[in-house]
Amino acid sequence: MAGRINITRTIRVIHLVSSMVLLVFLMMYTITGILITHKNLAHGEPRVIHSKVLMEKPFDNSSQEYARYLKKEYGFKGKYGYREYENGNREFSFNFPGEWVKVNLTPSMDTLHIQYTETERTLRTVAHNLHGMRGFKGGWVYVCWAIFYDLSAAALILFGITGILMWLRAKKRFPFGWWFLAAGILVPLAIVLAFLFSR
Amino acid sequence: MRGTVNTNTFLRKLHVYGGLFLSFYVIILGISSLQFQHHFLEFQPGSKSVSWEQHIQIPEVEDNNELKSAIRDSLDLNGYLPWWREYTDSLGIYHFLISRPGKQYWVTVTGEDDLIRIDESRMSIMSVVFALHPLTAGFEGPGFAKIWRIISEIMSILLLVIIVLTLQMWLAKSFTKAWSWVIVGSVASFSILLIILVWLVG
Repeated sequence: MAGRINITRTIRVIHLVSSMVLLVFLMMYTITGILITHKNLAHGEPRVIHSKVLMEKPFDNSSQEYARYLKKEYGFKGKYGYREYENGNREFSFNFPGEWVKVNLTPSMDTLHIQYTETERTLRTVAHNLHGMRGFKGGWVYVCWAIFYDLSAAALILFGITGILMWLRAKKRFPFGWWFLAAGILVPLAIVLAFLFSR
Repeated sequence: MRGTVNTNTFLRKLHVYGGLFLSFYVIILGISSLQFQHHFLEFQPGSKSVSWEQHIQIPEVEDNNELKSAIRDSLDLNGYLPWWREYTDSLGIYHFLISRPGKQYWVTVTGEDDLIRIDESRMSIMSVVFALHPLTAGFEGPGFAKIWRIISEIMSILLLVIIVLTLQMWLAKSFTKAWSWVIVGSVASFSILLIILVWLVG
């Protein structure tokens, strides 16, 4: 018997460890999710500010370095993104919870101008950004965030599966489990079918 | 003593039955979260499409977003209007996409007598399952979308309750070994630190 894996114990340990991994991030995602759904729980609407600033430093094709320059020069914070458009426009975005700054670099001879849109920091916008933040770009903090995001997602799946497995091994003690499991599957499935077959 | 036993039994049942009710939702939430970050599945519309034409009153507006919203509402359709899914073809005819879980509509503004052409395509069942996750964040859709918002709200609150219950159960039973404290302590403190860092410092 020695050396043989105890399946029940293994499932229990995976369930426990995944719940430990999940605790903080899942709590954050649940609370921010509720805040996003309920607009009236967190007052304050985003405020959009447009302004134009003459660009002093020419863009030198290194987006990472230029993002660093913009952050330092204009006090932008957060995860940066960069995109080039077919018409030659370049766009930097700085995503900080509650603040969304877009910097457009429009080529016009030797001068370029910056236009940015800033969203006011409210509880709802902070929740929205924290909830939707993902991707492995934008600096080490955001890479760590993305890793934790993946870890939480994987733990969520494991937590759900091991929970069902644990119940299957103790279903005599919880005889109504099938009803709850079926309801949990049927309710989302009904909504999915409604979307598929309605106009 | 009897009261404590009853409370514990109730909490255990709530944990198991509530957890079973949530298990599918939680698994879907996990898979769709991974999809949002990695885009490992590419959802394409089905090959079959239905087309029709309709006359509507097209408003005189400068802004493309306003125009798209007005046309969508006049057509009595609902869905998102992705800004990156619109174009003007070589004949100067404007096309844009209306996208909602399960369906997508390419709308062609012909410019003749306020005539609009709509090409409707179905999306796969998996794309709709994955779309349930962000659907709660303000999608103005048909009645069942609102019902889903309420259901997912209840599920989210139940999930929060289960998390708290899990914490209570850990403290009561599982935290007997040092490794439990090491795992939960390091993961939780790093998570909290990360959230504070992203929230306040950026």
